[in-house]
Amino acid sequence: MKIIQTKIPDVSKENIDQSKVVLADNIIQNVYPLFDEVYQGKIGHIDEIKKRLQNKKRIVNEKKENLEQLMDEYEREKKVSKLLSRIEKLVDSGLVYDGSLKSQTVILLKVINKLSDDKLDHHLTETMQIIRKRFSRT
Amino acid sequence: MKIEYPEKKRVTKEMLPQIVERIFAICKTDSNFPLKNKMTNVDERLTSIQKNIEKQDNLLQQSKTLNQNLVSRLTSLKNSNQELRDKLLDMLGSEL
Repeated sequence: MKIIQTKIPDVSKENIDQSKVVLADNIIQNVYPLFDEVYQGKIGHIDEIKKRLQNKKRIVNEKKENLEQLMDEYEREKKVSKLLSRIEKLVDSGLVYDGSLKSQTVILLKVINKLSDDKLDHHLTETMQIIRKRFSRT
Repeated sequence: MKIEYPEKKRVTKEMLPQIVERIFAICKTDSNFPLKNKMTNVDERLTSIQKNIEKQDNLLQQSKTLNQNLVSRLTSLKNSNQELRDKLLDMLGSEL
């Protein structure tokens, strides 16, 4: 054991309360800068995770845009599928074996994947009308 | 006067954050502790941002599953459309 001289008052029965205050003040004086360090550390951590959050939000937005594009493509492909089914019905019922309608259908089939949405809608309506006419007679 | 015990295990610098954290845990139970509100606010902000990050992670996971599902459906639909288109062109006697 080593006994050294300091400014901390020795504790005796008479000065016990005063000693407690002095000791507490000393602790606070030494500990407070450490709390500030902890506080600043937490503020720094907030900045860091805020950046991470922004980055994640950016990726989520990119994925969302990608999914929207895929959904549009899927909806378009569903329209193509519907139009093909209607053309199949027309072919099966023998409606497209005459000259002009046959060549129009062949052209339509060849360009079907390049048609705009509006054109697809137009052909869907047109084929539906032909099918209705054909089957309302029977 | 101070009594020093040389054989006493010295606290290493690496343990300082844990010690400060422990002292803070005790101090923050005191309503007069001035840093209490600031620290509580910072902790709340940290928790809130971390929750938001977890939410974004969940969204990313969901988008990954959705993407896989959609790509698979789209590929299948494209293939069946292609088959039907080829069949119809064949039936109408057109060269592909």
